[in-house]
Amino acid sequence: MKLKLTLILLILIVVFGTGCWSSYELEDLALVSAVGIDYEDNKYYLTIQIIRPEKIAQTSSENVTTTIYTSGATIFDAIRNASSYLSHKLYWGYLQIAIFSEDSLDKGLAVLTDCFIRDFEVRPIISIAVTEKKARELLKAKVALEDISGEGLNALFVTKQSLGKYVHTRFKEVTVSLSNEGKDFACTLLGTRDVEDETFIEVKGTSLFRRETFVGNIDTLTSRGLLWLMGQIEGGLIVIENSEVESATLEITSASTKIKTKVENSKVSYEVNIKVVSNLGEQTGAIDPTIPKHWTNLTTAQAHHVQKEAAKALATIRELGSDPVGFGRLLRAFHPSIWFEIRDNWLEFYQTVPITINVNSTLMTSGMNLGSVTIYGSLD
Amino acid sequence: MFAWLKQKLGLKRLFASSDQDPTIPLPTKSLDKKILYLKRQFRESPDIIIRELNIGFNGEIRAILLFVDGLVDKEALEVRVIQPLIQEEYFKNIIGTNLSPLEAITNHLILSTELKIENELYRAVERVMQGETALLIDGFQDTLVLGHRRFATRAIEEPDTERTTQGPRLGFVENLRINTSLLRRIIATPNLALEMTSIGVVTKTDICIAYVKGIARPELLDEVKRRLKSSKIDGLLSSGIISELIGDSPHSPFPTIGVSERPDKVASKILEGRIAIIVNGTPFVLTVPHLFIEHFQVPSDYCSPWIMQSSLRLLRFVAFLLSIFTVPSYVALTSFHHELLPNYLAYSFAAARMSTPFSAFVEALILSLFFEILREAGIRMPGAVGGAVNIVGALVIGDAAVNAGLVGAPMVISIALTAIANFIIPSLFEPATFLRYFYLLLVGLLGFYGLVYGIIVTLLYLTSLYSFGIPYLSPISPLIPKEMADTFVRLPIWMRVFRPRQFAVDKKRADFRLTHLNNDQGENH
Repeated sequence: MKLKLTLILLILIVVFGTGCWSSYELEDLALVSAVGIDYEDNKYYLTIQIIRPEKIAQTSSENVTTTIYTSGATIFDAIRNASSYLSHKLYWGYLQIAIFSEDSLDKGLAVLTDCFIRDFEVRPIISIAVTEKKARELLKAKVALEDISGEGLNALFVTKQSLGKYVHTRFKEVTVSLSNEGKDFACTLLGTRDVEDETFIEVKGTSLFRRETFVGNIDTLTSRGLLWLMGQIEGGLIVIENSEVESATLEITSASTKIKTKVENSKVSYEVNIKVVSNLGEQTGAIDPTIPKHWTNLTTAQAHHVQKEAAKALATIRELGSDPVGFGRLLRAFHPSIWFEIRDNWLEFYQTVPITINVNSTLMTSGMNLGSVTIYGSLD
Repeated sequence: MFAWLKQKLGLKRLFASSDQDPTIPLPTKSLDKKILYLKRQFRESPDIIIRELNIGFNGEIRAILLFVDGLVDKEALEVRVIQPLIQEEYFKNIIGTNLSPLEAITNHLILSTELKIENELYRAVERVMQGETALLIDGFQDTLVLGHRRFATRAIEEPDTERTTQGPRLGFVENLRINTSLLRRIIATPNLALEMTSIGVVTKTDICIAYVKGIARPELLDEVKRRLKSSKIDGLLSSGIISELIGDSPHSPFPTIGVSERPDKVASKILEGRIAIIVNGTPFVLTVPHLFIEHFQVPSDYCSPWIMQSSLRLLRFVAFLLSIFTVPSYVALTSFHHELLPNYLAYSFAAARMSTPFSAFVEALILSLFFEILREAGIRMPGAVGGAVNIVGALVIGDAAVNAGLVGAPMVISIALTAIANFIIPSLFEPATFLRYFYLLLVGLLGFYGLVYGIIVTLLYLTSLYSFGIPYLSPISPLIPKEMADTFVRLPIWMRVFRPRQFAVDKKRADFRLTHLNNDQGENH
């Protein structure tokens, strides 16, 4: 009897009680899609983009997101302060991207990201980006074809494969970079672009860090050189313009990078071996590329091109003193004794150590055309 | 008050006087006394006919025929029994011989194929109640019982509950004898035993235990007989009562006794060493032991190539799991574990739930209740109103409930999926429904955490179940690799050579491989 009474009570509680442990109905949550962080006058200003699912369900409606602004002494404080005028609990499980303005980066990467890494709702795979503008202004801009800019940016990062012009990183890489010596953090740089009377978000390049300090930005072309060094090129185009006749656009099909550390007579040097395989994507010169001589020339031109890009990026990052490639980590892994010797003056060592770049270039096919399609008689 | 008491007592006396105990032996040779007894016994039964005859040239021997109108073949009785007994021309052969009248009647006059001699009158009367005819002869205590049954039966049709695309289209009917003949037609071996017994103090329902000698384990047979013998009941009206009486776990939602309406299915079970129990008056034949895996084996599995049928069987498993877990998972995902949902799915779930007032758990309860009511109504309602109920159901549940903002569309989808998946395995409908509500309750309390606890409890319970001494989950738990050929997938027939060793004596089936036919040894027979 007692058991039955308890059971009946239990069922009644389940049905009519609202306070089940950690139970929140999906519709009672404010789903955060993107967050922007600004820092002004010793205060954090958060721009939180919240999704309105009921608007998404109506296919032809606008304003599918609501943006709220909040501020506080710390980021967590600012988030909690939002509750003073928000009827729903903020839910961070669907966060897509966190955007930090350059002003806020003075506080240091560790301080800025701690709240997001520590909280269990935020996934470690959330993208990080930096903007030169105010984050709140950036989040006002649109992503082409997307209603929700958070989701849109995430989709944008997926297409990076075929572009290969910026570094894309996530929160988990912050943790790895900050807790391990020898590799610095780098992330996407976002800006805006005005097209007619609308403003769109655009990728501007890569932001570089030394430990947790922001050191500077590089543009998209230099970013590509950095990606060659990091071995993160998955696709993209190589435009060769040696002369009027010898010019073509090559499409990268695969690429890989291996970095070797060499120690001779306690002198450290690095050897970066880049391997690139591509197809002829567009023939813009007047030669027939399928003639073996021209084919070899194109292949060599590709090698030079890649080598030049990588060397330029290497010079830039060494000048800035940032090591997103992980030269330090390689030394630490393969020659720990040397690493511990030079660790305290790593920056000086890094800027002077000899690094050679070798490129192994392969050109696979000429696409659907065997020769070049040109007007009759223009070929010699 | 007194009048009422008097009336009550009077009635009691009336009953006492009229009801003699029918089982008391009536040791008499006098036909008159017997007639008196029978007439008193059947005073209120006009369908029981007592036909008086005078046998012999001059009618020296008096006799009566006792039968139930409507259960016997009257024409056969007239031609084969009454005519030879009273017409003189039939006596030519026996004149002059010194046969006793009883011998003469049984051996030379009556043309019935079934003829038994009962010592006790009450036993003969019992046979009469089941459709046979009794011949009582003056001056003899024994009664002749003649089998001339004929009564209305249903035609043999394809069973509605277990349809197949291929395979035989026969189904059991209500008549026990027809059912045994259907089995005998499939298993044409002298080793097919059909042991008869009866249950029911009042109804005396015939029961047949069918098995193949040499395949079925004798211990199992003894256990079945022991359980049948120890079940005491007034009236046995359907085989369901038997399964409740002799089942291992009468409180379990999972059936531990198999039910089938298909002779081919029952025959294949018997050939695996199982024992079938056929109850007179019901087309549903029971088979024991019954294992969990049998729910997923359907006759059409064995009618087409094994790869296709194996994938269909896997589909059945998936459907069973879906029918249990869809609704609890939806509740868990929307109320507890939002992070498990992909982004856009979460947005559309949230959008659907925005306009509804209840929590996902209450929503699930409301819709499940709607569905159960509709289903229950659909089973028993006359066909003419079926369309109306369908329309109301589709409109109320499918459309109006969503439009009115009572429940969300995803919940309607999950309930609909549950309902359809549930009917893929009709025999597991009840356990699946039970488990769904059980899990729903746990999920409402604790989310997936509760669901996992529920699953653990269910698995523990299932492993503790037995059917006639055989673990319910075998051959999966305990694992018997040799017998796994017909569980999750159905392997080709030449790979399924082993009968379940737990209840079959002769473990190996006949060898299907053609090579053995070639070397002409026949060692596997």
